[in-house]
Amino acid sequence: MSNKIVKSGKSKHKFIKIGIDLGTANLLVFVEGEGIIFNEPSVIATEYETGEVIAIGYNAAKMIGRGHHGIKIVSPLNQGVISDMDAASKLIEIAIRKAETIDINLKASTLLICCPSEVTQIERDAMVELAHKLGVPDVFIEEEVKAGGIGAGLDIYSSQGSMVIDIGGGSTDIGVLSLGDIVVSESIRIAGNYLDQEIINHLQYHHGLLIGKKTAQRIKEEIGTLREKTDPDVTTYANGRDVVTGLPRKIFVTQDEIKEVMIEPFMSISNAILKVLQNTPAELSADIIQTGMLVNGGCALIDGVDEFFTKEIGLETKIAKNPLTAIVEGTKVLLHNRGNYYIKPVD
Amino acid sequence: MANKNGLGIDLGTANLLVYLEQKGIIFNEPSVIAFDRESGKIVAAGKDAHNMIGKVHDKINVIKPLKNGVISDMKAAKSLLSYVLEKVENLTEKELYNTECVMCCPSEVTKIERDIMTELAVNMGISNVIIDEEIKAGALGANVDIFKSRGVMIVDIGGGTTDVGVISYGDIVLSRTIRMAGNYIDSEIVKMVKKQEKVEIGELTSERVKTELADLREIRPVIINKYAGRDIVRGVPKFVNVSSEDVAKVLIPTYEEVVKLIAAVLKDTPPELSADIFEHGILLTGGGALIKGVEEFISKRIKVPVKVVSNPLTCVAEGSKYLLKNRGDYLINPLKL
Repeated sequence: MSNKIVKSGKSKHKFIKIGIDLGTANLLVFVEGEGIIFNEPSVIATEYETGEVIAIGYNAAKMIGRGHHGIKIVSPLNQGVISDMDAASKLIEIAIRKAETIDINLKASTLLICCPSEVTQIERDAMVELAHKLGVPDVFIEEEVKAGGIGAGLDIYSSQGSMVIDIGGGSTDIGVLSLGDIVVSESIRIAGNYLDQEIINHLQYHHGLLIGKKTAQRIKEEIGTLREKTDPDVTTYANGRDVVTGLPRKIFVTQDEIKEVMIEPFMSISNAILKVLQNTPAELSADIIQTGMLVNGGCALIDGVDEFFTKEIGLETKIAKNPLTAIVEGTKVLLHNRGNYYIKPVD
Repeated sequence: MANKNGLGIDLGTANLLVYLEQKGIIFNEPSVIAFDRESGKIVAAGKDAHNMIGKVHDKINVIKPLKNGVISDMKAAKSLLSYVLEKVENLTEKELYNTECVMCCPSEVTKIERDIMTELAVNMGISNVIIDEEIKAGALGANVDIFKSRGVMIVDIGGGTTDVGVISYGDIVLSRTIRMAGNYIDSEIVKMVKKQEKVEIGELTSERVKTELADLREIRPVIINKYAGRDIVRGVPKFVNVSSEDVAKVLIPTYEEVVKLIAAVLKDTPPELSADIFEHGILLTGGGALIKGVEEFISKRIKVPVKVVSNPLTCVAEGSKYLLKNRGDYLINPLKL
């Protein structure tokens, strides 16, 4: 007990460094000296009338598509950028407070927020504003690819070029990194959520079945694949509402079918990768052909992503060991050097 | 004299060498400097900055302060030199004021280009500066006694320029310069690979191709190495095979030009000196002398013996120590001091 008091007493005076990966799908919070204290979907549920928060994270995500009139369920981010400022600030505040053992004084801390590489200045300003709203005076914004590269264990501070592809929930970021910063980057808004939507559309048009977002996500995670060879025996069920009769219905979808749906979005991603490679200086191209590409983000977990890119681009593709947490782990390093490219932080 | 520092600077297009009296060569790295665009601070210099060429993001500006043997970016040249002197040797401004400095330049630079070199030294707080020719320093650095009544011919194939000169009695009798040397070969290799293989390679890679595959011998083994670059059609990274034959195709025309230049200088050389040169041979210095079979290539065409000096890369800087002693005066033989 006394230990805790000393700790909280200390934190009042010490600046605490917090790194946030505010993704469209998941919110991750890293606190220096504590590790990742929050890793849950970025969803918040509030009561319509009073505006009181009912649930955040997993509990709120469970409510998606299941809420009633009294509950407003919001994903504060849309395609990688903040779309609902109030909800975003509430979500972060609660996420930080959720770890009860740590007393964080937001007024005396440094906050790092990660953003997609091609957001506009206005979208960046929105992130800064968000931090000010939380009462944090010291805030800086860094690119997700940079943090993701560091978190996945790449030495981005050397002159050896490396390529990171981050396929998240709302946006896919592709970046070539060298000497601690981004040389070429590209961001497209085709990522996990887009895949879910494509699955929903497919089932609606081809099976006449309307399914929810959660179901689509589950289908993607369970049987989604990009491998050349699919297994005809792998199927999963999909429960939804028949568009014609309006009655609940259950069907089975095959792996092959889902693969067909996912191929097209992934072709768009691989085109974006080609575009980045075309703009890469020749010297860095020479490095990338040796080191290969690194895939990060939630969609890196889809079966056969590496095989697909290796075939399409002709470069060796590696999946990060920690695709979901790489970005927030990278913030640890960026918090040390404040994103300065020529200071290589040493632990 | 005792409290005065003597400094010899060989500010070449490719490499910067600094000689400090009583210490020897304190710096021998590529003349490249990298700045932070926003703050103007120096990020790296020398080898580290050289490794950044073609690899940087827009926050870093990598500059080669020299082009074709002459200073093209004054501010960068100054920063590079002060960086070396301050960081490597801790020379303070006060010490620099008490420093005597020799700077070497290609033999056919204009008066304005020489003045720029002097200005550079003055900018750094060195008041006492002498500009002298690289070939003179190179000959001295190769331990050739140029103060005798004997003609010596020096061919210095550097990064930006190739200098050919005849020296007798401690100074240059005649000299010629062409702006065709190591960097020119690099860019020709880039063009060749682009044309033949449809792959664009970077500056550092082409330099590597040159050092690994360049061979001018009559009978040369065919070596094929793999290099990486960017496919100009698809844009993706791609490996290419470059053979020593391909490189020779680029090297030979360039070295033919050098041979032509040597022939032109020999044509204008007074006959008495020609006799000396024929007897003692032509001396090759500079990075371009490191290519295999250079001696054979030139001597076969000119019919004069050719020798590569033992220290082709550092002889200019080493020679500057003698020029510091006699301040470039041909009457005083520093080798006897």
